[in-house]
Amino acid sequence: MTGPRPETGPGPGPEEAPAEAGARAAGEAPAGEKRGGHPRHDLAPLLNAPVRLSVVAALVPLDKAEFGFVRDLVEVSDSVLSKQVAALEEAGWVAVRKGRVGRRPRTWLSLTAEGRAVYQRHLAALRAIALG
Amino acid sequence: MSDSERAVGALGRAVGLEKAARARSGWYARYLWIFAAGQLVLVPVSLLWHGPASAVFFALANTLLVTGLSVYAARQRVVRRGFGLKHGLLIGSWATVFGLAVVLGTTVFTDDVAFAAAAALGCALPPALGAWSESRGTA
Repeated sequence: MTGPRPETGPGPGPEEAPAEAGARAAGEAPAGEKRGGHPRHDLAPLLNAPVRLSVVAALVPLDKAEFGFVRDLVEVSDSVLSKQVAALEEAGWVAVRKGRVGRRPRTWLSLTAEGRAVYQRHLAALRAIALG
Repeated sequence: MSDSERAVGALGRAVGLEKAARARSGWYARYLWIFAAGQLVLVPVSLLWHGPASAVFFALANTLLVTGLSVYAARQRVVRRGFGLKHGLLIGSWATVFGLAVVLGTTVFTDDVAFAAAAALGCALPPALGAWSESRGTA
């Protein structure tokens, strides 16, 4: 249901460098593009990548989730998830914490308050675009 | 594909992922149902059954319940939003009712079967309500 999918909208794809994505993360319009009243200006470019949007959506109802839980839910490989999480962490939207349960190391992912707010704005913009 | 269709697709995926994350994080409801069921046994035992055998049974059963539930919780891969506050409120409510039941059951209602039954239900109520509310959040 939620596996990796082709790009569905404008903006950086999953393969975009985190630094470039981070610079565009907050939804700023690229140089030369005027911001207007169109809801697409409220989209967060970093979330236009399906995998990143899926990761954030999976974390929204949760306090924290183990890396493997998100990987299984989003249906991506460890390396793909790791790369996307790094981009989201660099943007300050996802927090990564390493810990242990018994002898087993665990990596916990959680959404920051900023990440939650950006996601809500992104969803509101998508709804506005969907309604035309 | 138009912008509108892309937006609908992205929205659908996001909502689907949120639902799936909720659906796979329902372990706390099971935890609370087991905790509530434990009260139906442990509270009457603590109020009606006296003596060393009762103390040993209560200690063992309680240790088994608490340890089992703690291990079960620690092994989970996901924690739902607001878990800490909800768990604190539920355990606080349960502790208040349990404390009241023990005090009244050993002073005013000594060996009163009806009181012990009511106390067991009262102690099971907070976790049962919590489990019901969690189950609704999972659906």
